Amino acid sequence: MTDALRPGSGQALLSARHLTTEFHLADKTVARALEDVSFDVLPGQTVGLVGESGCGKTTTLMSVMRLLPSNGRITAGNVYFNGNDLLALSERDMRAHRWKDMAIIFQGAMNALNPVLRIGDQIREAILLHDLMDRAAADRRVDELLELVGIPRGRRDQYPHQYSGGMRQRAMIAMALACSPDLLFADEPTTALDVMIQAQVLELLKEIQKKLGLAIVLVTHDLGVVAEMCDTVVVMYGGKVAEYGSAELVYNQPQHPYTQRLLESFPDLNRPPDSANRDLATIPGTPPRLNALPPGCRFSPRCHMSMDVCAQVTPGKVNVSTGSGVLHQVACHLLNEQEINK
Amino acid sequence: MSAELILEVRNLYKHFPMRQSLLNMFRRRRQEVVRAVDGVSFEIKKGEVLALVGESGCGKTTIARTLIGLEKATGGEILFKGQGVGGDDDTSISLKKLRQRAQVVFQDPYESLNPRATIYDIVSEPLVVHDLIKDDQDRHERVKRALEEAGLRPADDYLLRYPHELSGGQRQRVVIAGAMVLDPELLLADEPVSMLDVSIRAEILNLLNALRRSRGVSILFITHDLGTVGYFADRLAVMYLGRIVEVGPTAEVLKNPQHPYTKALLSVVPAANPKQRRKMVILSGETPNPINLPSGCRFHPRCPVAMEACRATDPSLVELGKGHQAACLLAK
Repeated sequence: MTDALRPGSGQALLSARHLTTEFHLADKTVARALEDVSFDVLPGQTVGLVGESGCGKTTTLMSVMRLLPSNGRITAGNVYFNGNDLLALSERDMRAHRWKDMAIIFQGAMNALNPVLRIGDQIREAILLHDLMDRAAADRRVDELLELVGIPRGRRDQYPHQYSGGMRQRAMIAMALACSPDLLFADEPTTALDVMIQAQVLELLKEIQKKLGLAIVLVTHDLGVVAEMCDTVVVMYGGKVAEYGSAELVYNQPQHPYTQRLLESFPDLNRPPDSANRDLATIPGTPPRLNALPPGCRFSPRCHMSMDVCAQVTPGKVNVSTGSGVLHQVACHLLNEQEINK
Repeated sequence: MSAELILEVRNLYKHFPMRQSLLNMFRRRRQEVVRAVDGVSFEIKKGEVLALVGESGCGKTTIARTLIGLEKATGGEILFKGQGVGGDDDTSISLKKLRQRAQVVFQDPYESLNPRATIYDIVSEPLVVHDLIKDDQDRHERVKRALEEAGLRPADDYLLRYPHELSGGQRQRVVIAGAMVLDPELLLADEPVSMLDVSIRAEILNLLNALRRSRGVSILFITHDLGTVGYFADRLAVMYLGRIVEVGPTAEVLKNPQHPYTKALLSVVPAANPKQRRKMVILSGETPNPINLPSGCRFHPRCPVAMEACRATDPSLVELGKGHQAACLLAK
């Protein structure tokens, strides 16, 4: 349980350490939306943040980008980008990082394009706002970006309503790439899209990543998308990291009961059910309300493996020893027990 | 097993006329039509789940709307337990009777519930509309039973609540309770889980499965997500541009897909394991608009294995055995 998540974490592009974020609600209560969230993003890597609605995925992005609404505050922790502590920066210096170093595709953003502006002009606006480029250069950059995301040049002067959902998401990706960031956050980028269009958008993200060496943080509740895209997975529950590690290990040797159940509840074509009982695994109950968190492990009220200690003590992070040194951490008392018993 | 047929759809067409400009009217141009459903036939047996799968714009929702009488079919016939739907003659089933015996569950549980009605009112309204209740106590008991069957237990905790107090999964349970309170024989479920989180999605699928087992209700399950149907449907029909291009027992179609469109759709369903990443067959572009349909096979412009003959011949469904049919010149 050292601060360094793994040897050589100094090479990380982005490191979140013990990030804790609170929201002051209208009813005077405080919701602890994030607690002690730590993870690393290496250059060129894809990290997936997964969990059910309300588990803190989007809050994590907003905290890292320092775009929390006015009632939200980061109360503890650090966020390092290339070694610089972003939380220590002034708002003005922070603004220099946003978009140029890290850009974000907000959830549902493709429906937030300005309906009365041409797509090309909207992308140019993003460039002109951040870069010291003249109009002609910005125009050339728009053409480059549209080509990069596969929008035919002839559609540059069209309006959002003339675009389909998939094309609008491409335009959003182009806009996010406008200032050549090193890190792209994508919040549920394919959730409203059909499977075929989803595949097109994911393929595009992979291609762009390869071409530009971009690191991507993907927020989604779709375990299939994460399996398809990510090198590393952060499984979140109730504002905390339940399991964190390489995608291979988290999917094939999930250690946290929450991860296990989440994976079992996902219908998988490669794992056809026996015809007698076609029921999927479910997780009884609902995620905790963040202003009324249960004591101890936040998952314990819903956990099928829960023990006495779970309702009293918050489990710390444990490194799952795989021998290979591949990253895999779990916050669950079951593993502490195992460690002690060894 | 020759179970009773609940629904038979024969050669169903639904065309929507486009608005025509005055100029074109003078020029006597032929009016353009959107061929949303273009010759579709299928049937559903008692207690069977048929999944209708396809991308946006393939006509799957139009089929559901036509089945329940929200749209009038342009051609073909729909038989509900042998009685015609949407006809004006005496042998046809009346719309009111139809909607008592066939119920719809829509995609968005946030929009399909009246925000100003209590759960009790919402679930009991169908009983009132169809005049099926003896007295208040009867009404109360039937609502309670429907809610508990839909997994909202104890029902008393929910009766006086409003939709905004419930989570997405609970709302969808209320929608299902409101549909099941009439004891329908057919449930048309239009993307019932695509708005929901993974674990809640599993709960709703399990609930529908339980209702099918306990009540013997037949389900037409409309979805764009092939991933969920493997668990759920007995038979699977894949739609493209207003037509069924492949249909058959789910396991058979998933194991041995014959139409290139089915193969492509299957290949892009993300596997829930990084070790099983597949080679995806990503079709470029989107489903073309159903106004100017391509000649021959309507899939040929996007088809990775299209041949010369595909431009000219519009293939019809060919029986491949065990009820597995595909509309492709290459199917055998």
